[in-house]
Amino acid sequence: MNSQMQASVPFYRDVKKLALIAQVVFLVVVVLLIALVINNINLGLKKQNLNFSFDFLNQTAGFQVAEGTAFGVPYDSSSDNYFKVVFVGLYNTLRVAVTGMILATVLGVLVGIGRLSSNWLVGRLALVYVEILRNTPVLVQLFVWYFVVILGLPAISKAQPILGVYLSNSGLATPWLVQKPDMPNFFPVTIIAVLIGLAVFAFFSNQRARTGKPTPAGWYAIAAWLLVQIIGFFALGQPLEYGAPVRGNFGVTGGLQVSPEFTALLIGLVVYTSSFIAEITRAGIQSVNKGQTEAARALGLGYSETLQLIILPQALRVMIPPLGNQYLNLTKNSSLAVAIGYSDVLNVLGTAGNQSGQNLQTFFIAGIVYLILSFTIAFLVNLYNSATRLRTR
Amino acid sequence: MKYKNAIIASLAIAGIAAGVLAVTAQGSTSRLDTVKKRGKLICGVNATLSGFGFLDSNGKYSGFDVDFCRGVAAAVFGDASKVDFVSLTAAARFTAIQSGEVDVVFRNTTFTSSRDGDVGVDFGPINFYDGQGVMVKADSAAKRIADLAGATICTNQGTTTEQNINDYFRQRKLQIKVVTYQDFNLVMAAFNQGRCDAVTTDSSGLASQKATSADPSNYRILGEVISKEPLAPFVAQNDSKWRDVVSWTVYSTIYAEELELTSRNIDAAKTSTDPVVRRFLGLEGTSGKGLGLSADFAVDIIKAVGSYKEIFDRNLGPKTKLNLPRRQNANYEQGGLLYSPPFR
Repeated sequence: MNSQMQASVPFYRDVKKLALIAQVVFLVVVVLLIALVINNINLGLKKQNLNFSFDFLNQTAGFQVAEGTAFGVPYDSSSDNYFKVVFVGLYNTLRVAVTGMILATVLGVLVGIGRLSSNWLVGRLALVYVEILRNTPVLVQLFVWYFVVILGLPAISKAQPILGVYLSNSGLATPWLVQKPDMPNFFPVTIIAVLIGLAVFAFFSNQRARTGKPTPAGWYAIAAWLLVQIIGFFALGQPLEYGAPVRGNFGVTGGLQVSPEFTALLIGLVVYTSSFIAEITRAGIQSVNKGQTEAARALGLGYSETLQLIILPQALRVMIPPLGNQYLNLTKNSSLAVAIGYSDVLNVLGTAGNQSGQNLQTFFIAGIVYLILSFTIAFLVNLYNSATRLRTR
Repeated sequence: MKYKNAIIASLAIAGIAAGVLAVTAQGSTSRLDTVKKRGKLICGVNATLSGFGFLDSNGKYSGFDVDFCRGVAAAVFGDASKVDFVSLTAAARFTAIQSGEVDVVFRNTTFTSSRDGDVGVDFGPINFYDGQGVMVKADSAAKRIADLAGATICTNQGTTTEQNINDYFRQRKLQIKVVTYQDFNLVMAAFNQGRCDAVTTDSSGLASQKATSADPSNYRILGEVISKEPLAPFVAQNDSKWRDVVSWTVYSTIYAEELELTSRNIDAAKTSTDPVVRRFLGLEGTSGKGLGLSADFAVDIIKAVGSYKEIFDRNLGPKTKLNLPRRQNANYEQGGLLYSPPFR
C-alpha cells in the first residue's frame, strides 16, 4: 500500500527528488561558472600573448629591497632571483606582524584594564584612546605616524648619539651583535631558542597549575632561551660580532638599523589593533561573574592578584576567538606598508610584477601567501583555544 | 521550500555566467569600434605631474600627455572634448590597459622591450625623449651622481628608474639604499622631510617637480643623465587597428610642425596646391579612410590641439614654469629626433 502510494507520486511533486535535482542543477551551474571564469582568463591572456607561467621566478630580480634578508640570508640584487626576493618580503611581513601581535596584545590588555579602572582619569583616558583609534582609518593613522611623527625627528646629520644609539628620521641605529658575512646563518638558532623558551614556559606553567607550587616559569623560559642562543653561538663558531653605528657622509652604517618605515608601520598597527584588543579585554573581564572578584577579595587577595590569578585567566577563554580575528586583521593590514614605503611581501611582489610584467602571477602569489599566513594564525589560535577552554564533563 | 532557494540561486549564477560570456564574446573586435560605439575615449594619464598630466583644483586635466589624449579624441570623433581621463599611478597603468579599463595610456611611460614583450601592451610612437636624472637639496654636498654613494635615494614604485639607479651604482661598485613609494607626491613628501638624500625619475619629471614646488631654489638637479627614457603611449597588445589610430595621431602633430601648419593657419592651408599638404589635410588620397577615420582627421587634430610645437610650447616651453629646452625633442630638421613617416 505504502509503496504503491509512493510510486503514484510524480517526481515533480516529490520533495526529496526535487531537492536532489535542484542540488545537481546547482552543482552543474557552479562547475560551469568556474570553467567559464578560467576560460575567460585564458582567452584574455591568449589575446594579449601572455603565458600564465611562473618561470620568471628564476630570473634575476635586479631591483633593491630597502631592508630585510631572506630569513637571515642576505639578498643581492645583482645575482638573486625573484623567488628569493619574495622571501625577503615575506620575512619583512612576518617581522612586523609577529612583533605587532605581541605588542598589540600587551598594550591592548593594559588599556582594556584601564577602561574598567575605578580611577576616573585613567578610565576616561583609556576611553578616549580607544574611541579615537578605533574610529579612524588605519591608513590615515599610518600616514600620520610616518610623515608627521617619525620623519619629523631630527635629520641624521643633526642627531646626537646617546650611548652609541642614533635616533633620527633615518630610523634607529644601535650597537648590536651582527652576523659576520662569511659565517653560518645564526637566524635559525634564534628561532629554535625562542621555540625552546616557549616550550619551557608551557611546561613549568603546567606544572604550577598541577601542583599549585609557585614556579617562576617566565624566568626559566628566559634562561632556557639565552642558554640555547649561547650554545648555538659557540657551536657555529661565533658567527656574530659586535657592531656599532658609524656616521658616514650619508647617515650611519653598521650596528642594528631599524628603518623609519618599519617603526611607523609597527607603531601604527600596534596602536590601531590595541584599541580593538582593549575592547575585547573589557568584554572578557566583564563576562566574569562579579562573585569571582568578591570571593577573591574575601580570601584576602589584593587588586592585582585578583586580576592576575582569578579574573584574567577566566576572561582569556572568552577573549581568545576575537583576539584571533584581530591577529588576522593585523597581518592583513600590514599590507598597507606599501603606502609608506616599507618592503613587505605585497610591496615586493608589486615591484616584481611591474619589473617582470607578470602582474597576474605576482598577485596570485600574494593571495596564496596571505592565505597561508591567515590559515596558520587561525590554526594556532584554535589550538590554543581548545587547550585552554573550559572543559565540561 | 529549500530547493526553491537553490533554483533561484542557480538562476542568479546562470545570469552572472551569461554576463561573463558576454564579456568574453566582446574580445574579438578592435578597440576603435568599442570607442566609436561608446562615443567617448577613455584615456589614462598622470594626475600629479605638472606640465605632462595634472588634475587642477577645478577638476580639469591639463598637460602635454593630456593634449595627446584630446588629439586622439579629435581624430576619432572630430571633437577633442569627447574624452574622459582616468588618473593612473605608475604601478597601475599596465593593468589598466590589460583589463580594458582605459583605451590608451599617455602617461610618461618608458618604451622598453620587456614591457612590449612580457607586459602585454603595444607602444605607439615616442612622443617625448627623456633620460633619468637625480635631484638633491640645494645644500647637498653631492656634485655628481657618484657622490651619492651610501645615500638613500627615493623613487616611485613600478618604474624603470628603480632598476636604472640600482644598475648605475652597482656598475661602479658603490652602495646605495632605495626606498620606493606608490606615488611621486609621497616621494617628494619623504624627500622634503629628509628621509632621502636624493630623488630620481625622468629629467622632465624632476624639472616639473622643481618648478612647481613652493621654492624651486631649494632643489638642485644634477647634470648627468643616466639612462634613455623614450616616453610613448601604449594600447592593449594585438590590436593594430587601434594602435594605428594612436600612432598617426602622434605623427600628425609632428608632421604638422614639419609642414609649418598650426591650429591657426590650418584652415587657410586648405587652398594650398602643395600635394604633400593636400594629402595631409585629406583633400587627396585615402589615408584617413584606411585607418578607419575620416579623411580629414589630421585637420581635426591640429585644429583641436595644434602641432607638436604648439603642444610643447603650451605645456613645457619657455612661457611655462617648466621652461624645458626642445633639445632632442626638436624636429629632425632642427637637429632633434622627431621624424614623422609621410602621409600618403
